[in-house]
Order: sequence, then C-alpha cells, then structure tokens
Amino acid sequence: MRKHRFLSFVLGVTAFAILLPMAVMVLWSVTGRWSWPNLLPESYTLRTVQELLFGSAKLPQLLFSSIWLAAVVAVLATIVGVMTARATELYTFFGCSAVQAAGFLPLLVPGTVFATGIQLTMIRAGLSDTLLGVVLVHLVVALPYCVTIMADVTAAVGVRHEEQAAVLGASPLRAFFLVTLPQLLPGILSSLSMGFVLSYSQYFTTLMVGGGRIKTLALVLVPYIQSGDRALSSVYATVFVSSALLVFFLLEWAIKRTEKRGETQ
Amino acid sequence: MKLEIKDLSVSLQAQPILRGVSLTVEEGEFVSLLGHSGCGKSTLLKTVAGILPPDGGSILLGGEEITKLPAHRRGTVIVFQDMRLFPHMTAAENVAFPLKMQGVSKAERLRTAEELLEKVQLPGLGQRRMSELSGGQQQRVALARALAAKPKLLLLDEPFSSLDENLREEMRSLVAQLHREFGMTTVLVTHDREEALAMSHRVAVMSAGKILQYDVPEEVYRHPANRTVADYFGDCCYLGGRVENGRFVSELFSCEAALPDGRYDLMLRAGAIRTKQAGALALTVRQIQFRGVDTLVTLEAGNGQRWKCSLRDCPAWSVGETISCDVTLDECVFFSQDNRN
Amino acid sequence: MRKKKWHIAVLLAPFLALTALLLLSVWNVAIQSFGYIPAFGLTEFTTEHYAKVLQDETFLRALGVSLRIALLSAVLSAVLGVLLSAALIRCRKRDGAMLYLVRMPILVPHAVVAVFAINLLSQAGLVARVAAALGLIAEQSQFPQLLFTPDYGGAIAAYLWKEIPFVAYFVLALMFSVSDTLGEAAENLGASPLRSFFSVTLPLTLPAIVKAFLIIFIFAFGGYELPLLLGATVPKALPVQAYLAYMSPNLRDRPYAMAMNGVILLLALAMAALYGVLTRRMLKRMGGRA
Repeated sequence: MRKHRFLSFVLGVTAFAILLPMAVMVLWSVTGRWSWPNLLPESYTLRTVQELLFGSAKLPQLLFSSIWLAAVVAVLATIVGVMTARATELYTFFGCSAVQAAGFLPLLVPGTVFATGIQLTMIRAGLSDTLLGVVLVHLVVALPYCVTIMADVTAAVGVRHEEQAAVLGASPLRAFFLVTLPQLLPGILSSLSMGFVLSYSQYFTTLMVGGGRIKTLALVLVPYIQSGDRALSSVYATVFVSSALLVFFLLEWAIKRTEKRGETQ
Repeated sequence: MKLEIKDLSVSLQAQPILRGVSLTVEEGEFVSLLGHSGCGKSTLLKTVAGILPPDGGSILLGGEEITKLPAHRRGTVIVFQDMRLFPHMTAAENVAFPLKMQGVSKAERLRTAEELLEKVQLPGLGQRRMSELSGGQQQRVALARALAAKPKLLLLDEPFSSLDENLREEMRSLVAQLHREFGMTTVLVTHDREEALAMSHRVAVMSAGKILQYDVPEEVYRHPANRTVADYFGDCCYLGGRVENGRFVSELFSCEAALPDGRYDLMLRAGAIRTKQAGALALTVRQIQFRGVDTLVTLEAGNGQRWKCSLRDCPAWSVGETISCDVTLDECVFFSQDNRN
Repeated sequence: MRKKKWHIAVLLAPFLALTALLLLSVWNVAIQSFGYIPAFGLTEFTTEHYAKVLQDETFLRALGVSLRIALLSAVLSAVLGVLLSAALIRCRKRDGAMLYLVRMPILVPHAVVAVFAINLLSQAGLVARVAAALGLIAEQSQFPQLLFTPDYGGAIAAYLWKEIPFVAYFVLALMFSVSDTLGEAAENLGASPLRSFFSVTLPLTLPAIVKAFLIIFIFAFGGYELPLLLGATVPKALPVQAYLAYMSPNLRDRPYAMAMNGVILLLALAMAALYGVLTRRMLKRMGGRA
C-alpha cells in the first residue's frame, strides 16, 4: 500500500506540473502590472488581448491562416496515410517491408536538416515562400505518424467486409467508401488530429521554406519571446494553445461518438 | 490445504458479480466450479487468488484468514486460460520463476524445473522459447510452472478450452495424474459438463453469482437441486402434472410419487427412458441417426417434447412409428411448480 | 491478398513522392557538404569542409551542447515517463480526465513551452517569487540562473515537460496489456508487485520504451526553437549554429553549414542504426515475438 501512495503522489505532482504553467500563462496574458516579488499580479487588464484581437496585429487573420494551413496538411496527410496503409496492409508486393520501413524515415531525419536540405530545391521549383511548399514539407513531417495510425486501423479492419460487399454486387470503389471507410473513421479522426497538431506547431520548417512570407502563430510567437515581453508572448501562447486544444478536443469528441456508434451497430 | 470461502461478494465496475458465495474445499480435494460464461466462476477464482478485492466475506486457507493478503503471498496459483507464459524466458526459466521468487538458488531451481518438465512429459525442452512450443506443450509448461510454486491451492481457470479435443483429453488425464501424485487441493473452473463430472470429487454449479448446488458429481447430475441445475446438464424434458394421494398424473404418463399433493414438473432425462421395455409412455420415432458406436434416436411425446436417446443396438424402427416405453423412476426428479426456482 | 500492380502504384504514389522529397533533401545535404553547389559555382568534391568543421572549436562545443540536451532529455523522459505510465496503470487512471491531462503537453507547441519556462523559471519567474515568499532568497539575483545558461538546463527542463507525458502515453497501451496479464501471473506465482514490474512488465515493455527514447533523442538533437529561446548565446546548440552558418551572407560558408547538418544527420542515423541492432537482439531474446 505504501507504493500505491507513492504512485498517487507521482500522479498528483504530474497533474500540478502540467496545469501550473498553463494557468500562469493565462494569468500573464491578462496581467497589467506584476512586480517582484509579488505572487499574484497587482492589476489585471484586457488591453493586450484587445490590442491583439482588434488592433493592428491582425491576430484573427493569423489564427485563421494557421488553422487553414494545419487543416490542409491534416487532411492531405490523412489521405496519404489511408492510401499508403491500404497498399502495405492489404496487398502483398515486392518491397512491401521496405515501404513500411521508409514510413519511419522522417522520424530519423531531424526537421532542421530536412528543411535546410530541401530549401534550394524549393527555390528552384518555385515553391519557396509559397503555401504549397510549406504544405509539402509539413506533410513529410506528419507522414510517419499518420501512416502508422492508418496502418493499425487498416490492418484491424481488413478486407472481410469489403469482400462481402463485392460479393453482394458493390463495385470496388463503392465497397471501399460504403463499407470500409466508415470503419476506418476513428483512425482517420486520430490521424487528422495528429496531422493538425504537428503542422500547427512547426516552426523551423515553416521559417525555412515559407521564408517569412507564410505567417503562422509559431512564426510570430518566437520573436515576441525573444523580445522578452511576457504579457504579449503569453497572450499569443494562450491563443496558440487554446486553439490547438479546441481542435484536438473537437476531434476527440467526434472519435468517441463514432466509436460509440460502432458499438451499438 | 483446506479452503473455506464465507459469504463472499465481489463487484466489478459497480456491477455485483458474486453475491454471498460460500464454499468449502477439503484438503487434497478436486472441486469443479461449473457454469456458463459470466456466472462469476472466474471472478471467484481471481478473488481467492487475491487479484480482485472482495466487497465482503472472508477467505480462509488452512484455517488462516487470507482475505487481506496480497496476491504474491497467498500461495494460491492460477493456471490461466491464456497460459500467460513469459515470452522473454525459456521454458525452464518460466518454470523456475516462482522458485526464484522464493529465493531458491539458481542450480537448485533449474534442477527442479527440469524435473517438473519431465513430470509434464516435456523432458529436455527446457531451453526452448515460448514461440518454439506448440499449444499443448505451452499448456504443460504452464502446469509445471504452477506446480513449481508448490501452491497451497491450485486454481485452474478453463485451462483446456483453448486446446483441440484430442489434446484436451490428454491434458485432463495428465492433470488427474498430477493431482493423484502431488495431492494438492485443486479448484477447476469450467463450462464443460463432462469435464466437471469426470474430473472432480465435488462439483459446484454456479449461476448469476451464486452457487446453486454443491455435491458429488453423481448427485448433481441425478438429483439436481433445481431446474437451472437440471437444465445445465441438458437433455431433459419436463412433464407437467399433479400429485394426488401419492400418485403423479400427467396427460402422458402416471406413476407412484411419495410427495405432498400439488402441481409438479417431472424432469425426465433421455437416460431414464427404457426403450426395450413396454410401459406407460407412448413415443413416436422422429429421427434415426446412425453414428458408428451408437445410434441416436429422436423420440417425441404426444405433447411435442423430444428426447435424444443413444442406443447401442437400435431395433429396426421406422420414422413415424409409435413405440411403448418404460421409465426408470430413480433417475427422475420432481420439481414443485408452486415454489419454482 | 490482392495483387493488382496498378492499384499498388496508385496507392503508393503520394507516399513515394513525399519520401522522394525527403531523400532529395538528404542528398542535397550530402553533396553540398562535400562542396558541390553548382548554383554558387562550386563543383569540386572535397572533404575539407568536414575536416574544417571537426577542427572548429565552436562546432565541437555546439555538438557537445546538442548531445547533452538530447541525451539528458531522452534518458530522463524515458525513466520518468515509464514511472508515470506505471503510476497511471497502478492507480487505475488509464482513461478519463487524468489521461487527457497527460496527453495535453504532447499538443503544446515547443515555442509555447519556452514561454512556460520563462514565466516560471527565470529570475523573475514564479518559482523565484515563491522562493522569496518562503524567505529563501531576498533578491531576484540570488535565485540561480536556470535559463540561458551554457548547460542548457532550461531547454532540457522544457523538453522534459513535453516528453515525459509523451513517453507515458507512448508505452501505456503495451505496458497495460503486459501488466494486466503477465504481470498479474507473476504476482500470482509469488512475485511482489515491484519484482513483477522489474522482471516481467518492464523487460516486455522495453521495445516501446527504447523506440520512444530514439524518437526523443533525435528530436531533441535536431531541435531548434527551445535551445534558441532558452539557451545561452555561447555556446549554441548545433542546429542553431548550423542555421546561423547557413544564413551567412558569404555563400562560401554554405558547404560548411551543410557539413554541420551532415554531422547532425549522421549522428541521428547512427542512433537509429544502434536502435535497429538493439531491437533485433531484443526480439531474438523474446523468441521472435514482438
């Protein structure tokens, strides 16, 4: 029983360590004055928040373009994931295991090296400083995660129901879309969530290939942190985290719903 | 050692699974817990082993209270259905594992492991990995590993259900032989009627978290305590009727019955029907299936009830023919309809 | 199993295109680091840039910094993450609010974690204020410098905040399924919970733990934002140093920057190769079963 108490303590410390910095961030974002050595701010203000949301900083546009970019990456990465998983899990072909191994390559090549190495190619192909270029590099970063998630569900779902549908007269495409796709849905939503979060938090790859022309929250936040303005960087960080969490929990909620529906069927 | 379970209740995720179970297993006895899946028999086993905490009641082993003892200090070893062999150890290391936990020296425990592997008829396979053993061999390693722990109480959780029919038979006789040799108190959980009847000194029939009947196999089969128990062993039909003045009367059949007056169901098993003797019961032949060792004949009574009788030498009946049969009353049981359970 | 070749080709096309992009990048790093950049008029293959890099004191110190960050982050995350995972399982918190809480740091971008570190750990941060309130220090300057130091403690702390939960979440499913069956069996055979964990659950969860370790090591080794935002000016972390060289207005510095990237890549791949050898050995010990 003593050990149990120790492990409960571990969980308590963990929860505290996770929540405290987030709470402090939110607090800083509405702080007017917080001088040393006070434990709490002396005054609160919504000025910085107002300034950012309605002022010249164009935070709403920035938020929108960041979400748009991450959503595009999430959807494309998931489509690639579904297609790749289908090939490796449901077909047998020469080089199948090589393809599966190649799926992990982006985990082995650090993002900084990848972005640096690809920049010249991007410039030559006219993709540097373009949305398409940034989408492409983000896709490479998200690839291993989305492919792994989709490979697991694809292998679990298999082709049994699709074959049944084919025997009952469905064309291959219809069999896939009507029978297999709904069963892949929880995996697809997880993959979307993962792809979104990965693209949303990219900094270096966006900087390198977007060249500062493609602006995202991560790109704007870093200079604020370097400038040492806590209130301002905390506001940006709060918006950044809460929007990421919002998207994540929405997708999580959708996953729970589809799983529940799958159970009652 | 003697196991005494007193008024044990267990719930999982706020669902009551066991509701006041009491059971005593004498030292050296072999007892089966028989019931459908979900009746709580595996839960009972895991609670005895200390894997699940009970809500109430107590467990005594060899007269000592063990209800609060952690699993690893109980000496109640389970052979799980999925065997749970450690894949990162060899067969010998698996068998030696409990000895290592008891602090036995390495040489000593490897020697004991080899001995036990011989006892379960796996001599010389000690260095094999789990993936190099067949299902039956893995089962034997699991048994040897349980024996190595020198359990005060051996618990078998449907250990044969994952094996095919031939292997299952082989494993049953191996377990019976090991039980004779080691003589340890053993509780077997199973849903297989024949297995429970054939292997045990006593059988406890469970349903919905309760023990319905606990007796020697012959009694449980011949004199079921209630209809649920009777139904579990199957192939029985019921004839509804009345007892008046010491005589049971139904629309098909009547006989002597030393019972108080009232409405009764007479449980009639196929085995109680004597097809060779003409008697009070008129039955129609519905189906004749020759199966090699015997012939399975489906007989139907006037009220639509059917029995499947296995006959060694079947007379030359034809389907549709009505025959007259006698009934052996000492294999029949009367259930009062007035207080059904 | 199906075999139609054109199906496979169509399904794999986008994956192969993206993989080609990655390989092209690796190829670019390789040839440019050997001094071959025709666009800049450099067409001669030479290993002099590697030689120069390996003799450069700044580079060697940056390499030391990055190895230190990667190694400490990965080792501590793995150990503490496994502890957290075990705690989640033992305290029966495998789902629900606690698990969502543990997943949260995985979703938080690195730049934001830098904000956390500054808010809490700087000399004017909350921890220093708590220390002052407790009477442990009187002045800001008495609080130890945790950020922007050459030992990169701030960056490592920030990585830990993100990666301990990552390890816990990454190994949770496997660890749970092992401890729920084989761990339980070990306890049933007389092993204490602690022994059952170390002799059965931990060795059988090891493949997932080592994989998480590798992912974190490579990530922290090649990471840019956290050492940039929380590290010292001198020495810099390797990716920061490499980016600086890459952005140098003197185009002749380009192969030099690429040689640094080449070293990062080689070390990452060496770690991956080591991982490959180790897992193969582990799998063999487990009798070919994953």
